Amino acid sequence: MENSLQILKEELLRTFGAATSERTPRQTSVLKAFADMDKELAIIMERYIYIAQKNGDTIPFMAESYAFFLDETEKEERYFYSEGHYRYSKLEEVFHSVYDDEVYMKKYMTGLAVSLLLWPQHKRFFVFFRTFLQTHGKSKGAYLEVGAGHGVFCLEAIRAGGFSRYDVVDLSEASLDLTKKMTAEFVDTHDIRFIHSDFLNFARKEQYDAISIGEVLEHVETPQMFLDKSRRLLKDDGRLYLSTCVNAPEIDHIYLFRKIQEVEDLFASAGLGIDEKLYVPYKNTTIERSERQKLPINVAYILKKI
Amino acid sequence: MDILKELQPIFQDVFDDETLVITDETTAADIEDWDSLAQIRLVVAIEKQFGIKFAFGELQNTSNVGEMIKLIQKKRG
Repeated sequence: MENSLQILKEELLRTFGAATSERTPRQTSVLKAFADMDKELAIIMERYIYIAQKNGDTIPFMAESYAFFLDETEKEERYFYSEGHYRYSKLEEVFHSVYDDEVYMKKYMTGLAVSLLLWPQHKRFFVFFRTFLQTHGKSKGAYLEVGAGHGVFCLEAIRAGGFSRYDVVDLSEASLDLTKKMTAEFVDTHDIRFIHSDFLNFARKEQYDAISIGEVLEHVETPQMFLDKSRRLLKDDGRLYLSTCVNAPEIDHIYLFRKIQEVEDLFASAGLGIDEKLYVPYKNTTIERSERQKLPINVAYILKKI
Repeated sequence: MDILKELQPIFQDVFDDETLVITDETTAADIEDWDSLAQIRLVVAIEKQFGIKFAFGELQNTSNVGEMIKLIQKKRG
């Protein structure tokens, strides 16, 4: 397992161009990402690769999937700048075009997971998330994760949060399965419940000390309802970690935030206040320029009840 | 108006730099912010300005502004 990241790096470089002295832009990005890598994130990603390999995925497949993910992202960026909005706005459309296509989804999700390792903003968010866990983790507390995705954040929550009980809810069985395998392999925690459900239909009377909703709001039609429900599930002294994005087209992003203020207005309407925040504008730009030119902005928050 | 002059404000807008001056020889390496996203924004802005359509990746294969202009001329017919 120790050399898996090195093999992935070499495979990515091979995928993105010939081994000549002149690097392609994608090769340059890969080299920079590996040079700047967060050590803790690297450990988590090694674990992700280990599980993916056990599931039959090869490292060349992961590199190929990442290239596919970049191509798909560029297609959506082109659509967005041409039309002024995301391609889809309804969950049903995304189910029909994307989520129901198993082969497409497998490559897309694998590519997305690799992007966690390689995109600089993801590293910053991972560090912010870890700080949230270290600050608000409770040895007798309960943790809820909404949207497990590739399982990497959930694994970190268990590793760094030290809660006594975990609930993980996701609409995707494949995501839950992957997360289940990740946690079973690497953490000695038995008190994890995996719930296959739409979060809005997720019925629990109990409340949580910490809730994490990472990169979910842009995938739903009614983010306000998500936030309202999250507040109801949060203990009075609990904290909610939330990340989302502004002007960031992807095939399955259906709710378009055009300004950061639009995100924060939803918090206020839900009765949630901002404890801490992290804004990451597009590289080398300011928030003002990113918003004016509709460049992608990533945002993360630690929220509390008000 | 020649194509280079029409491209000038497009580049200034995409790179948010009113002082930017491009020539036929300008390449992505000359402009620090010229990455894949900037390239996509250039493609969309050029398509709108000249009423043409590029296939996916077509404009990316040009190595400098001069080649870009040749491709635009060809597309306009």
